[in-house]
Amino acid sequence: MTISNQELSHSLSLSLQMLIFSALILGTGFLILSPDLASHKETATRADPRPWEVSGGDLTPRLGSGKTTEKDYLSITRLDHGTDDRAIFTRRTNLKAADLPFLEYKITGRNPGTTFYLIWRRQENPQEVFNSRIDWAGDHASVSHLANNPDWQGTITEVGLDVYGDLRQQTPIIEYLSLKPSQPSLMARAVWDEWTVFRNWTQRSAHHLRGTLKPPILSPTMAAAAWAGLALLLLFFVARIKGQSSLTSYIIAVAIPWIALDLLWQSNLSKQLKETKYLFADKTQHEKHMASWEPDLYQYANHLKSKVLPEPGAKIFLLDNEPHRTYRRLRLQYFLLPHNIFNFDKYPRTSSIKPGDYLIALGEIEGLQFNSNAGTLNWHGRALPARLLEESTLASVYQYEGRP
Amino acid sequence: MTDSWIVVVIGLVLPWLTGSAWTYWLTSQSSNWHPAAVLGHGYLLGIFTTTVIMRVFQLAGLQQSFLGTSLCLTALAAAAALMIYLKPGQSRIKHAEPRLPEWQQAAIFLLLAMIAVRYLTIFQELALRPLFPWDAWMNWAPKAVVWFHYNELVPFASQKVWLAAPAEAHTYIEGAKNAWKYPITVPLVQLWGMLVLNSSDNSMIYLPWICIALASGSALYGHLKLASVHSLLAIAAVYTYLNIPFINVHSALAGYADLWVTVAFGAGIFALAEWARNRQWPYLLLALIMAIFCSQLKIPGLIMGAIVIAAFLLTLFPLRKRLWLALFIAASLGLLSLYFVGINATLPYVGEITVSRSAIVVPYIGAFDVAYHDVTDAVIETMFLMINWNLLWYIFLASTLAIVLTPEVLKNHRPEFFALVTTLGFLYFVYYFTERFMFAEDFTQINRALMYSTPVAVFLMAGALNTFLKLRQTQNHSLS
Repeated sequence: MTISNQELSHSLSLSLQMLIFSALILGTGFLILSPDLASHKETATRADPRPWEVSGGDLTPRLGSGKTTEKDYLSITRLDHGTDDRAIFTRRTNLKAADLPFLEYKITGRNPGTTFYLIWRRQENPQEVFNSRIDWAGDHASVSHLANNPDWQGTITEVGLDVYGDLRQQTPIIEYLSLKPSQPSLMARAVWDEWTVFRNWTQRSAHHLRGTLKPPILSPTMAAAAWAGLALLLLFFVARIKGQSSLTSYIIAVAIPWIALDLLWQSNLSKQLKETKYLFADKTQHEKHMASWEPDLYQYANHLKSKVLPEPGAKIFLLDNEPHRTYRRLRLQYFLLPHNIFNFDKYPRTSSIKPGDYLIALGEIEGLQFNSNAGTLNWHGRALPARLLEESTLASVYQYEGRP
Repeated sequence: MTDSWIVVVIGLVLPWLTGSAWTYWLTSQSSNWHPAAVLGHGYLLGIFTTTVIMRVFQLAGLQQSFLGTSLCLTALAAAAALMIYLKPGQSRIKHAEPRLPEWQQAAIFLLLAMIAVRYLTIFQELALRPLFPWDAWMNWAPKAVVWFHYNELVPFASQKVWLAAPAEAHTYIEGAKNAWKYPITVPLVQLWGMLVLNSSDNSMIYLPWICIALASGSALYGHLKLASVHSLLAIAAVYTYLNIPFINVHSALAGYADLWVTVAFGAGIFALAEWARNRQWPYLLLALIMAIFCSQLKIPGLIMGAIVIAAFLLTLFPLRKRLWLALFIAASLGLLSLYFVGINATLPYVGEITVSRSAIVVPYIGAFDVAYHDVTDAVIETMFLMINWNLLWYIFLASTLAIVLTPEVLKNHRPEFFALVTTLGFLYFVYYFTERFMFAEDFTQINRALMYSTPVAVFLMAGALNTFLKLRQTQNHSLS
């Protein structure tokens, strides 16, 4: 690869030009040919619908608390405790969903601990509340393509925000919500926001990485491939016209889209690391477990290990309402290691259980009850002599003492 | 804190040093060796050796301990040093490469910086987060945690055996039904980390999941340099491979076995390609060791190890059209007879082998009903629409076309090409013709299986591009 600096700069410049042309052609083509944008035109009830905008300060708290700021924004100060920690702020309205397929919003000071939903009621069935998750791509104004949601239809009578999770001592500020008519620029922004939205690790992350939170309007991978592909085609035609081709130009035309996609991935990894640091940095392993998923199971397993169960070695049957392996029973089994646990049953396996074996019934198990008078564990007409060692909201622990 | 870091470093460096010393001695018996390949293979060989030592301890009835295993590793490193002293290696031939122009130096720096940023991010993620991914704590870590508690490799068994066993037998079972019979190398790697840290609950146990990725990248670079690939192209290949999102996620969310199969298979094929090129036995030996390593990591690793062996057998046949025609006819007849007649046999010590139109039974691997399932939508989505692989499979498709159409390139990269086509063919069969199709449709498994082929795909593409460039250069020279 004896390529001079001059040759490189020529190749680089040519590739960049073709990549720019490629991006312009593809971007314009996508927006012109977008079936979504075409569908907006077809379904709109007016030729020139007007946007509907509400400032955060004009939203009415229905649950939780907020404070109106000097700029008429809404600062969320408290979520109400319940099954979930939650706040709801809404505003009554009257608009046609089909006229306003995009939501533009600006909410600052968010963190991955809270989840925001746009919620709405429809005139057709006023009792029902519909929702669409509002993803977090940063503190800047973002756009969401609401028309993708099959419930965004009919006459909308109330719009608002439903906030779940943990504010983490922060006060997210809702600057505005704006429902907007169809515009190509909004579609472009919605695509970009989908690509840059923060995607927290899930248990599916080690199996597949979609690159977006939900099936996207446009796949970033396919867009990058098309970008590179068209640039290659343009380079090929330029080479044919000029009568000379440069392999370096072709390589650069592929390398730049690759790197762009790589930077998009790095950006999410960096956001993830920030979140991971928030959750786990400067903590002991015990504190990390308490900050991680299922701290209740972790804590309960520690309690069982230290207070209820003997030294590891005894056989333990872990029962769960589902006969199949479920996440929580497997997780409890892991936290209880190095105890020797069999976790495949819903009810005690009478043919195999031996005196001295333990049973842990995780949560409520349909039909399984302990009869303290008889000292038996009963289910569907069957009984097993057992001693209740521990009972809590999470689980009950028994020991089989053998048949008299 | 400082003490624990020293122990962690020892736990990482000792296997690496031992493996590298032996790899250096082996490969430097000829002048055709490269330090990056030595370091890359060195870690994989070293960590595999560590697990073999632990198995020997078990067979000898000795307790598992950090001291015992580390003393053995030190002794092996000393033995390698002695061999190097008694039979010193040769100086390596450096392939002539003119001083790189500034732009190439800058490009290399940029690519290395992007790799560094990525792995610094991954390191922090791994170090901070407690063991996270589902299969890691359900299938792989439990054995290690239990063995760490007892300091011995107590047995894990099926439901039937567990239910019949008395408590005193210390027979264990895992959360997934068949996990008890999974190969034990990955839990042994975890056990080594636990012995090093004297804890079964510490994120640093999983540092090898980063080390193997980096070692694999190093081996890739070394082998590309051995194949006279230009430095910039070799570094670009390493960047391409090491920064693939799905590879990254298996280092960051460590604990699965799939990255291990990927790197062992990749290193095996890299070494085999070198063997095919120069016929130097140390590379064949490394390839065969990596084939064994594959087979000890995960049940599909048996197939991946077998592919390395098959690729080796391929290198024994000269590239003659008649021979290939005869092989092709024999293979076709074999497939036709399997389709129409089938096989059903029970071999002593091996078990039942069945191949028919409706079912396949393979000893140690499993029984599968054979029926066509169209999972093309899921395959397209995962390979070409999701961000798992960046643009790898798009480029791979274009490259494969170019390779097939250029006999000169195909001739130079036969083992890699064969390994890749066979791997993808195997995955095609598994996900289109067995009940595992559901794991393609829900994306739980297909990407982890596709990952096995990625180092070889990148190796092949970089090697092929290099051959193209050289062919072009030769054509230009002959024209001028």
